[in-house]
Amino acid sequence: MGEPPVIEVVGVSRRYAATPALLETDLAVGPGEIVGISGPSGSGKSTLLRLLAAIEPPDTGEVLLGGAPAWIRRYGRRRRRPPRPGYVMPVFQNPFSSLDVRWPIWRSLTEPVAVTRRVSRAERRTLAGERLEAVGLGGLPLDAMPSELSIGQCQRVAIARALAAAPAAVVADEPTSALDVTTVAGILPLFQRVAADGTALVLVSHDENMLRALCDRVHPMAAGRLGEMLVC
Amino acid sequence: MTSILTGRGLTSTEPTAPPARGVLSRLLRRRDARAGLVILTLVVVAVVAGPWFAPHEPDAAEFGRVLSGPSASHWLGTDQFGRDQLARLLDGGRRSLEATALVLAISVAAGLVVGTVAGVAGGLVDVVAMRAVDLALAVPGVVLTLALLGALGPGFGNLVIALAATTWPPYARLARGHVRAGRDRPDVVTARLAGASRPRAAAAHLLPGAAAHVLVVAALDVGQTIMAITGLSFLGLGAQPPHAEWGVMLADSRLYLTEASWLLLAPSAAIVVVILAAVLLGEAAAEASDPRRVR
Repeated sequence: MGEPPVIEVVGVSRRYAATPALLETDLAVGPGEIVGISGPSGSGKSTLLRLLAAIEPPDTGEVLLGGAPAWIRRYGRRRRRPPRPGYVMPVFQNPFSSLDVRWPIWRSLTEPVAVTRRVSRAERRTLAGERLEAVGLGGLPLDAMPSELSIGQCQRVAIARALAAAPAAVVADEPTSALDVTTVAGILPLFQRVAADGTALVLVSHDENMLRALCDRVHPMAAGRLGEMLVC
Repeated sequence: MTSILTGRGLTSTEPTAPPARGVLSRLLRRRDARAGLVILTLVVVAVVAGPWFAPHEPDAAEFGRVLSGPSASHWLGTDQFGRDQLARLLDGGRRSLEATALVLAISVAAGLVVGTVAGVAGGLVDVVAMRAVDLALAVPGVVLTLALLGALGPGFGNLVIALAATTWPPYARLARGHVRAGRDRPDVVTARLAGASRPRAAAAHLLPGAAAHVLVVAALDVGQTIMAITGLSFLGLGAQPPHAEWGVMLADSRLYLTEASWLLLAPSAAIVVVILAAVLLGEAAAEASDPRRVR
């Protein structure tokens, strides 16, 4: 990789109580790169993803976002310090629970923008319409509630929300496992378009075939360790 | 799924509270809720608007008509000072319901603030807040209320303060539990990664759900609160003479049980009807807000 990694973990380990979830793991992802992580349940895929997104700190090792440490120690506690808000955005497995059930989709979609600057309601609705258009949901009413959408539509809205923050990287945990084959076929080109725009993508999935078809490289994981890279 | 094994993946299997408008429409579809709501609305309208239409002042004594039975001019009779019982029932009802609303509003607000702050902050703040709640819950509520009233002195304002001070801890615990349980919810995590501070993410995504849960429990507590207010007023710790209040009216009427038994009926019936309506509405609200009971 010629450019510096967007996200990088160096020698990170994580354990939950007595159970080691991740052991001495290194991974770097560059701009526009699509990296897949496959493996059986309990292999540490989701833990690695949480560390990459700086949702939680590692026990040992370092997480670097844009080349700078993602965690700093202040007043005895570790605090997250991304290069900017929305630098890494997540996409979750269950699209229904990843959107606030009380909020119409325009509000969820534009939350990443509204938390960083003052935006009028009209501006937010316009932005939401543009975001929906970008993920192929142009006809969807902005006031629709998550419960009124199909699971595939919810996942597209969740992806659109992640992209609304203009992230440098998107991490997705089993983003297609709750979806049917037809819906998956609509989601995968979306990920390719996101990466083509320069956003780094890390996808975790059981489906190695899907990862091999989509990703630049795939790392198998087992027992908390990242295996040799498989070039696709 | 790894996330289920570790319990901390990017997956969430937590049930989320149903949206407020769904709860409201489910609530209004229930016959018991509608009945409770209609009764409470009628009582509230009667006690708020009634004094303007009542032909007698609640405190106006008419010593020529002491302890007279129901008649065309005094529908519910008169008390030991010849005061119109209907006018006092409406005036006293306004006072009882006002106090109930005040007690619940203060305790719900205090519980939500303390619980949410403890849940969001965690650490030492959480420990201190929750030990204060434990302490308040360890002492029986009635004993604590009586002790506070003993220190503050009897009076309607002090009764509201004492009751509010002893009823907020369960709401704080409920709100704190809701906030703690929702901290790892995907929508909250996304908001945090997008740049929202912990308080902002909690206020936007967790507080509405916590408030809905606390309000449902508060609806169940309406009956209990009215009982406490009228009970303490009955003991002389609430409204003071000459002001009317349902508990005070009951206390006065027990002295004339043999010669004017009707004096007991009106305030008793009013208390029973309001508590029944509150319980109907509270139970229905609890069921309508439970995602597992959606029909």
